[in-house]
Amino acid sequence: MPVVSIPRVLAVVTGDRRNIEVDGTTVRGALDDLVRRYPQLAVHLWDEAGAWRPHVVCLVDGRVVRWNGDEQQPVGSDADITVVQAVSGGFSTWR
Amino acid sequence: MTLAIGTEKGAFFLDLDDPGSAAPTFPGWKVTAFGVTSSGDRLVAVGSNWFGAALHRSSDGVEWEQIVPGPTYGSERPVSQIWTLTTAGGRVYAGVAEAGLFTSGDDAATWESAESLNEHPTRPSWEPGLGGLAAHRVLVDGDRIWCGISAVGLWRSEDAGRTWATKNAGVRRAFETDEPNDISFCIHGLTQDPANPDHMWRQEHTGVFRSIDGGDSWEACETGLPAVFGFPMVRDHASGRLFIVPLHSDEQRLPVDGRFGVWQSDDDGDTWKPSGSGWPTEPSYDTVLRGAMVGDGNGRLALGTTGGAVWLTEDAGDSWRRLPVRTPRILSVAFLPD
Repeated sequence: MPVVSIPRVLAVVTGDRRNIEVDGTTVRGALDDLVRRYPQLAVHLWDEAGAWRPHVVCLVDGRVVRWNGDEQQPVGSDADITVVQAVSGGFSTWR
Repeated sequence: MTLAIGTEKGAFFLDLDDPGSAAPTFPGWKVTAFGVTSSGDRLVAVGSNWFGAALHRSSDGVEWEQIVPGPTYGSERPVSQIWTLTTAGGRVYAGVAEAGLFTSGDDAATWESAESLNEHPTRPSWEPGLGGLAAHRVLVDGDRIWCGISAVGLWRSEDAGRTWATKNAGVRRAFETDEPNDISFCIHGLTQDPANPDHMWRQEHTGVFRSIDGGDSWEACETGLPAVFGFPMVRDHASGRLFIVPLHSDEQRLPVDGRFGVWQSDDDGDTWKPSGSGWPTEPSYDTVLRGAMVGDGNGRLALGTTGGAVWLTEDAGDSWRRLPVRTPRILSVAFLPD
């Protein structure tokens, strides 16, 4: 089964599990299964329009997929899908 | 009673008998507001520049569950931060950015948008302040609800949120505008006398104001203040004292002459003076954000600073002491029942 790895801060909603086996034969299918198992993750990965949050990056077997938009690409049963916070986004006009 | 401190990097639940022992809950998350549901569950609002905003609940303060869905517009308009949580009359109210009010009638399990405010015909003219376009202060008295939105102004509903009207007459606008509606005000702090809710006070971007008619009209009340800019405003209901933290101008946003501390009024805002004793004698340039000062209504007030210091009074401002704890930048403070 593909494994989705999530950042430590998101493990607050997965019982501290950071590497989660999922079902799916495409990137999107695997991620949909992830949020089926953990619905709390959806708001953290995707914005209100359903797009990736601007400073969240998804890699499949080490290759970034978010910028080519090809979430329908197939993934193997041993795929390593990694969600990371980008090296950006640290600044906001917070109060 | 637990003193909850929301910081840029997590929540710290302080035992006042041993405040230095607290470790962060939600480490790495901005903790922007606390609340308590009608049934007594704790609520914590968190946010992230990367992962958005969310609301968590706990019945024991140890195990937390993210509420899904939390407040959401159900459209492409984002909920980027939950600024305030208020529980009254069996309902929970959440003020959020992008500015809007959400309510829950089932103990925070599900949320609905206050459409008549959130989609008000003036919304296209709403402008954000530096902190964004945010609904950040909510007061409730029966069917009357007040909602402060920056940089729009104060709104009041007389009918439990079905209709809303602006309540800014007499307040200085935040900026020059030809806006024909009663908006473009930058409210920062808001409090009232629960025994006489028509008596209200607001810390505005442009000064300090009071009302004796539930917000229908306002007058400046600034005598004795070293500066009229500031953010938080708290009333201790037992003593009737008011508390604010004056800052030197919206340009500097620093304690005047490095004199960090709270100022208080013992006469409903007629006059102001430095609050009590205990403040630093050396220059200090800490500041306090709008959600970072709170009172329990019975003589105990606490504040958290942008420098991560926590201050407490248990005698309605007669004396203050700094707690032996240092946290990240403090965004929100609350007293929570144990």
